[in-house]
Order: sequence, then structure tokens, then C-alpha cells
Amino acid sequence: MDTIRDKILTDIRLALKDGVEHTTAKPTDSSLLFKNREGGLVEGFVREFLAIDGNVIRCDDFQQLAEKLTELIKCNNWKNVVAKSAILKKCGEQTQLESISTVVDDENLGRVEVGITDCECLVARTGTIVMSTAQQAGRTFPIYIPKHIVIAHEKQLVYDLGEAIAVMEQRYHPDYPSGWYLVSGPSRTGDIEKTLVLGVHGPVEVYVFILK
Amino acid sequence: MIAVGNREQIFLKQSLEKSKDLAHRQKMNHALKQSDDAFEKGKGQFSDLELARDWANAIKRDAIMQLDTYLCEFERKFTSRGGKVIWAQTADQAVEAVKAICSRHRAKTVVKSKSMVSEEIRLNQALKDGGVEVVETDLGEYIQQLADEAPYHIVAPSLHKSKEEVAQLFVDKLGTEPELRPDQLTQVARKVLRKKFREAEVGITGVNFLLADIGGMVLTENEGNGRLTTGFPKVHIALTGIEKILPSVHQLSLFLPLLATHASGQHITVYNAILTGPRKADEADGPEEMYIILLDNGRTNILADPTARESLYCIRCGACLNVCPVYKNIGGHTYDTTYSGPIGSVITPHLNGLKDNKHLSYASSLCGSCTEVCPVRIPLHNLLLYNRQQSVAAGYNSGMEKVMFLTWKKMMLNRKLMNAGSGDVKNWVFKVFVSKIWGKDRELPMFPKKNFSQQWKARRQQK
Ligand code: SF4
Repeated sequence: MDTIRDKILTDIRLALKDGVEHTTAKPTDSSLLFKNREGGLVEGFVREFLAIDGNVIRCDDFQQLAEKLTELIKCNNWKNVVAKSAILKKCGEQTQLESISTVVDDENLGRVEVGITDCECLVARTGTIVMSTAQQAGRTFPIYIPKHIVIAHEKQLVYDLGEAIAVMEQRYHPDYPSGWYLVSGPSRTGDIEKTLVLGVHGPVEVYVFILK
Repeated sequence: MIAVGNREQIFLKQSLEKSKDLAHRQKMNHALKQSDDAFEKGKGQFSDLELARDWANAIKRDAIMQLDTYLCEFERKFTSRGGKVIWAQTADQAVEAVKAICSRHRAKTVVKSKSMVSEEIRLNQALKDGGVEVVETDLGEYIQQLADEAPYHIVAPSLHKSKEEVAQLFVDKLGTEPELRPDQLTQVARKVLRKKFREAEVGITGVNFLLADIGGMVLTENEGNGRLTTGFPKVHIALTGIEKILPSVHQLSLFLPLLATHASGQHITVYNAILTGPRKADEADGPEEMYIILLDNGRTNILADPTARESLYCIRCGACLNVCPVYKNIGGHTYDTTYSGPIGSVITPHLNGLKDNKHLSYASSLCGSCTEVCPVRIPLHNLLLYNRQQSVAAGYNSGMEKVMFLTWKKMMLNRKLMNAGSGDVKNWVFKVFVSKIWGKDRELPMFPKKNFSQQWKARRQQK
């Protein structure tokens, strides 16, 4: 007895009996297709990320990171800040970082105002943050929080998506994380009369701290 | 409007009604102009868009020509990480599979992120009939669900609604304050839906791409509802047509920007999730079970036709709808098909039968704008012509029908021509050619003595 699977595969094979053309040239390096902008990776990321309504804050060292982060939190009067970030943990060990909680249970997730996470890498050409479920922030935390702060090192920058995918492949093949996330700016919609609105279901503000 | 007559007659009647509806025209002009402007800007990221389209076409060609191989590779890799693949030959089989999973998990609430395949198989109604609450979470889909309407556009479901109409809808259905602005309406939806994401036992999504080499799927969206739908519920079910396959994850470096630019004029969509299976043992959270349903539902018919086959390259960007003068004039619902616009007119006769859908291949001005814009270079207007030939060869078209469609087309698509004659001339043309299908039970639409552009000018001068 044929299963549905076998039936569909048989139908596909029968359908492909006629007129199949095979492509000879298989394109490879898609970065050739895009405009190459002037300047370095950091400048490129900053330019693109600002253009899609994100914020970037550059820091020379952990000391500056601690200061600038504390200032940002104070300025905005954010009360409930939760960090799931290995870099920030290290920073906290070396500096006077205001105490930021690092755990949140399910019940209190809805009360978190700001979440701080790491990332896998940053993509300069498109202003993209790459994250994955292999990192401690997991699936729901970085998308449920109203405001998202990402901490990254300059050396985590790559030029385009192709390189970012290659990074993920090298890092995890063949045991991939169940979710890889490309995030390019705050959540947005144009569903009501094409009017741009930020912060539909995901974070309304996204900050990236880039450490030298 | 009550559906009398066959699909073709209803189509013609509704087209004529819509094309007279000035409010509709203004809303469509506004929305499609915005899409057009955004696209022009987004295109700027490509140094060579023509070459990019060539490559995309070549990659999809390769994917479709070896569809069986790539699907099997996808299945092998995906299942090796604990994901489950369900094959469905028909809409019913897909619906039954979803229902079975929902009942196994005693699901009371299902959250959904946008999925055209779920529209194709009429999933929401089937789940509702089984006592499951189905909540659309994409803002546009949520609006359409509140209004109890099908999506108007494959990418922008509520494209045809003004902000005032949406505000009124929220008053009627959710009891909000009147006259809320788009940002306020969005906040209302955000609040309602946040609860639903956490309550739901099952999350259902579409698929933008299946990836053969890593055995995964891609979900592309701007709002974050897809991420939440695949984050909180214990079970994730993804629905996809078998044609959505890409051989390699690396090809996303072309396809994500290409899709974003053509769908919404962005360089890249805000959220792109590559999902390769359920939550792993060492991961913080995520669904315990993940299913991908691979749907045929007529697609192998298209595949068997070497000419029509190219329509399976479609990445559902919606660009061909945005540039189509027919779509702009008659709107998304007049087609009465899951997939509207040029791509819908091309594939629907193959998916749902030529006889009942042959008229769709006449619903085109053959201006070629769709072919010109398509990111994967589907020769859409040639395929419409091809469908016409097929229906003539099958003996479905009488000479009279063709004359009627010719007239319809001229009236619909040519503002200059519409403006050329006086109202009386136009009414005469209508009586002669259209009364037969318009039916005796109702008045023919009368053209005002002044045409639209004259009225518009007159009104502007009054100001
Ligand atoms: S046919 Fe081409 S333009 Fe139309 S939706 Fe599909 S990919 Fe986009």
C-alpha cells in the first residue's frame, strides 16, 4: 500500500519526466549583487541600523559600557531590567555596574521593561542582529520584551548575510540550534493604511552597544 | 451581493461594481502608490537587480526541477532533529492532520501567524467547527478576522481599509474608544494578542522558504507575531506548499533581501527566523513538538506542465499584484480565489479547475507589468495567454465571451478611453455588451454625465 508520501513523490517524479532543464551555472557569491558602501563594518552597521529606527551606542571598554548603560537606564527611568548576557556578566565582574537582575520567571516575564542579550553576530550591510536559541536568552524573551538591548563586540561584525550564515554553519554544523533569528530593527507594521507604526508585537526600541 | 450565475458572471458583475466605486479606487491608489514608492527605494540596495533576478530564477529552477530530491533531503535532515513531516495530497488531508494534532493536545486556543496555505485549505473554519478558538495575530490578518473577511492581498491583508474603517471596526468588535489612530489601534491589538500567545496550546504559521541542506524553514515577518507564535505554544505546526523549497540556507543571502524589497521595499524584513526543529534539551524554551505539513493540492498538476511549471517559482512577494491595473481596479475579493492578482490568475485554473476559472486568464490587460517586476522572473502574462489557449483548446470559450471580455477590459483599464466618450456613449456600450451577463434583475450601472477626472477637477476648483 502506498502512503500519501509515496504518492506525492511518485506524482512529482512523473511530472518531471518531461521537459526538465537543468541549470548549468549555479550562482554562488550573492554579495556581488548588492551595492558596496564606503567605510568600515562598524560605520556600515551604524548607518544601516539607524536608518531602520534602531539605536547604536559605541564603547571603548567595559568601564564605558557600564557607564553608558547605567546612564541609559537612568535617563529612561527604566525599573525592571533583566539581562541574559554573558558579556554583561563579565562586564559586571570588572566594573561598578548597577545591579541588573538576571533571572525572570514565567509569571513575571510580562513585567520586564527592558531585556539585555548577547548576539551571534552583527551584519553591517543590512543592520541585522543575528541571535539563536543556543544562547541563554532563548526563544521568547528577546521578542516579548518591550525594549531590547544587545551587547556585542566589534569583532562580531560581518559584512553581509552570506557571511553571517557561514558563521552559523561553522559554529554549529551539524548540530544546529532550533531557532536562528535575524533581527533588523524594532518591530514594525504598515498594515493600517500603510502608516508606519513601531512596536507591534516585538520590541518598540532596539539598542546595540558595540564594544571595541 | 448575492451570487447568481457562474463564477465568470459574478466576476464580471463585481468587477464593474468595484471599478465604479470611487472610494475603493482612492484607497487602492493610495496604498499601491506607497508600495510603489517603497519598492523604488528598496531596489537601491542592489547593484544589479537584473542579475539578481536571473540568479533567483536559476536557483528556483534548480529547486523545482529536482523537487523530489530536495524534499527528501529536507525531510531527512528535519526529522533527524526531532521535527515531524506530514505529507498531504489534498486540502482535506492537511486539515485533518492539523485537527488531529490539536485534539491530541486538547487545544482550546490556536494562535496563527500569516499563512496563505491555511486560507487555501480553509483551516480556520474547520478548526472553529471543531470548537477551537483561532486567533490571527498578524495585524492585517487580525483586522480581516474581526471584519470576517478573507485577505485582500497576499502580503497586505487589509490594504483596502482606511484607518477610519479600521478604527470603527475596533469600536464595533472590541468596544474601543472611537477614532483611534493607527498607533493606538496597534497598541490595542498588541495588548489583546499578548495574552493569546501565552494561552494558546498550538501555534500555526506559514513558511516562506523550506531549506533542504539544513532541514529547516524560514519565517519572514515585520511585527514579531511569528516569533511569538513559534515561541510560547507547546506545539508548532507550519503549513507549506511543496514548491517553497530552496536547496541551501546560503541562498537566503539573496532571497531574503529580494523578497523584502519586492514585498515591502525594505532591505530586509525585520524578523527572519530559521527554525530547524522543536526545542532542544539544552535550550531555554520553545515548542516540544514541531510539524511541517507539505501540501500538494494540485501543485503536481502544475509541475507536470512544462510551460506552467515556472509559476511554482513564486515566492509570494505580492509585487505583481501591486503593479497590476486589473488588481487595482477590481480589488482582491472580486477574484474570489485564495491567491489574487496575476499570480492567482495564473495558478488558480491549474489548482481548482480550468472550466470554473478560465475567465481569470482574461482578467488581464497583458500589459506585462507583472512579468517585468517578478523577482524570480515568472513570465506571468505569457502564462495567462497560455491558459487562454488551453481553455480555448478545451472548448470552453465561445466567441461572445471573448468579445465581452475585450470590452470589459477596455473599460476597466483605460482611463483615457473611459474619459473619452460622454456618459451616454459609455452607457450604450455597457447595455450592448454587458446587459446579458449583468442580469435582468437589476439596473445597469449608469455612468455619470461627467466622468471621474472632470468631477475631480470641478471639485478642486470649488475649493
Ligand atoms: S509571481 Fe512573482 S511577483 Fe507575483 S507574487 Fe510570485 S514572486 Fe512575487
